Amino acid sequence: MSENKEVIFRIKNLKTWFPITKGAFKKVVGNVKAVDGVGLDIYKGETLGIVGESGCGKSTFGKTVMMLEKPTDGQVEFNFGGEFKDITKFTKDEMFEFRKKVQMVFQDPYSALNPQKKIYTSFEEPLKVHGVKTEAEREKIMQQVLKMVNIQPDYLMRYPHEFSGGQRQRLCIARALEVMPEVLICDEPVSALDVSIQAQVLNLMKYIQRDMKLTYLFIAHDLSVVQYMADRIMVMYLGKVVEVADSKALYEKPMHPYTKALLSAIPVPDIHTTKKRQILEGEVPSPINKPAGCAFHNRCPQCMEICKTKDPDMIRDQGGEHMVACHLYSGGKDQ
Amino acid sequence: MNNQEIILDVKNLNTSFISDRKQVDIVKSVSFQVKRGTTLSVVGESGCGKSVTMNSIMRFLGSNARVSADNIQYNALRDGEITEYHLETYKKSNGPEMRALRGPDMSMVFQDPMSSLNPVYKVGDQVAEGLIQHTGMGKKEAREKVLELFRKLGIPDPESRIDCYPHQFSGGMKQRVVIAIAMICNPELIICDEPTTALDVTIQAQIMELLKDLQVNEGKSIVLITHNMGLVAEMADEVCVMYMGRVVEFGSLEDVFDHTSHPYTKALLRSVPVLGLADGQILETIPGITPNPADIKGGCDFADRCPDCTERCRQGVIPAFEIAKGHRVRCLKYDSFPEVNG
Ligand SMILES: Nc1ncnc2c1ncn2[C@@H]1O[C@H](COP(=O)(O)OP(=O)(O)OP(=O)(O)O)[C@@H](O)[C@H]1O
Ligand SMILES: Nc1ncnc2c1ncn2[C@@H]1O[C@H](COP(=O)(O)OP(=O)(O)OP(=O)(O)O)[C@@H](O)[C@H]1O
Ligand code: SF4
Ligand SMILES: [Mg+2]
Ligand SMILES: [Mg+2]
Repeated sequence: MSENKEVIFRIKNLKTWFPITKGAFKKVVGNVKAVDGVGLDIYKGETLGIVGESGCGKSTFGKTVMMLEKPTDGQVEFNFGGEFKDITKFTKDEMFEFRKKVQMVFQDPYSALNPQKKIYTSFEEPLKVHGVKTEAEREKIMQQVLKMVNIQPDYLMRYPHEFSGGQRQRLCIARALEVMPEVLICDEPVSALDVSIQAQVLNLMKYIQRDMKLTYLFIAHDLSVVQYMADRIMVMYLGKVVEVADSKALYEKPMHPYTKALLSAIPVPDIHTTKKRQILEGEVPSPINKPAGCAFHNRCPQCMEICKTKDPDMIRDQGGEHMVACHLYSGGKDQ
Repeated sequence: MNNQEIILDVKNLNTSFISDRKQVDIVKSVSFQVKRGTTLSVVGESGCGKSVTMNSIMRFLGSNARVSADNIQYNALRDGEITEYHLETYKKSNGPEMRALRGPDMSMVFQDPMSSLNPVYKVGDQVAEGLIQHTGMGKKEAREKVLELFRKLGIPDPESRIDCYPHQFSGGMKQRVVIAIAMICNPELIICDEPTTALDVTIQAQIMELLKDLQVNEGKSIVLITHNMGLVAEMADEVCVMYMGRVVEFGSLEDVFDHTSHPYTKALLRSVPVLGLADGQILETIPGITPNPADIKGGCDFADRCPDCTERCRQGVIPAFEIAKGHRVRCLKYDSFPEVNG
């Protein structure tokens, strides 16, 4: 699928580390390596699903791509009308444009909405900033986006705490859509919704994508939701990408042992199932003191000697689009 | 059933809010019981009143809320002795009676982790606080307890993370801190409001195992609000289905999953996303939109979206019918069965 597709983000060896300091002098004693060497092209109009264990760096990756966190190393280049520009080197005007084109739905809807302000104010601000001049026009847009996410328009005069968890989450999606972005980074956008409303919102997001040619980065831990939404899926483990594949291929033929474990741990809504969930053994390693070799080796059922010392490189399965970083596929030896 | 078997008994709970100078009824004559040592799962559409119901019981609502109930009874079992607490009689929502119960007896995992964490205190101190307050434990010992719990909840490298501030934690890590706060005092009844929404399946499974262990080994009771039907199937003994502020179906897990009776429950179970949808296939949704709680017309709240709706459904208050022992359904299709409260 990549040949005739235009790249919108080109990401190279991206690292986002957070220093850990101790004592009054803030001496740096280590780093939380939240994102640790991610490289990938994101195509225009695709939905890239991002999955992985809690704390593996999904949100940090999303925030770094949006320039809300500064990368420690590596590059994120954005396609500005055919020309790739490093997002850390944007001019003020370019940044303003970028902020309109790339929007994010944050994981924590409660802190994303200002608790002191009525929803109306939170919704009006971005429209004002991005040049919707008249109040009537602004109101029209606000009503439109609220309708999209199935929230009563008269709720605009309420404060965030007067909504249910799922309603707040839908408000965040609506607000991100207001300014008609090109890229929408969705961090767990539907996690608090019941299945029916979740389905409504997901279907809607698909329609909007088709209409507005949106690119989605879709972070979620619910694999059935990601599979439904994504064209491609990137699996992260401890700040690194361990597998990237077409959504279908990933579910039908997962390669990385971690991906396999993720897939088998999904609970099924059937009380007569005999399927015993495979739950990963072993402690989740810390992003501060990463294990040597493959970061997954202490929990991997197929761990080999080489896995304990050498970090596997990303390889393409039969030279195709399916990429995996695991020694099982590099012949278990040095390449 | 007696007080030994029932840990929480809620009768005719009503909650309304004053919003924009209008009164809106959100929770309407809700009655249910939680059996000691079991898990009750509460499911239902976003905005149907699950959190408000639980917050009304725990008295965590703001000043624009009006709560009334015939009975909110918590039966504590200590050394074989039952002590009854009537929560509905307490005048102050944050008075000494409620404060003494919260923590060691009943505790709650809130839906929005950030709203229950204080951004300016270290996560470890926030968890230790309840322990120090309720047991008078020393700081050092409390810290050890917190570390132990963090480890059980799968927070990697707890020693170097315990002194972090909430913003330095990922979404799922914050959620686990909130779970830790609720669990640290070892409560008899723990109400979990979407406790694992921000967690991936492996950690979710780990936390559910932990809760199950507590239940099996220590006889704890759990109320689990979740929209994840897979979790319900795995965890629940009984299921309470809510729609527009009312309990529309209540029964054992088998009742609700195998003998699904209310049209809303049927529709809800049909729209669960499953792995392996064909290309281009669209997820099934319940047709129609959620009514506005401010303009409820009377009759069954689900009428406009129900495939089985008849003229009769649009009038009066629809009672609940007991279609099998302990399985009640609020739907006129079952009016040949005996009418029951709740
Ligand atoms: N501002 C920060 N300072 C220090 N550490 C941070 C900061 N933000 C994130 N981290 C750490 O970086 C790691 C990755 O966090 P991130 O929020 O990206 O995880 P995630 O994959 O989104 O997880 P989740 O699914 O739980 O939301 C975590 O260990 C987290 O504690
Ligand atoms: N403080 C408040 N003031 C006014 N209305 C409120 C307040 N809190 C909640 N509501 C309203 O009460 C209804 C029920 O909210 P509740 O939070 O109980 O829903 P829920 O079932 O928990 O939904 P979700 O699954 O989305 O969390 C919603 O329509 C919400 O807008
Ligand atoms: S590289 Fe080795 S340890 Fe890592 S996932 Fe593959 S087999 Fe397992
Ligand atoms: Mg996150
Ligand atoms: Mg809720």
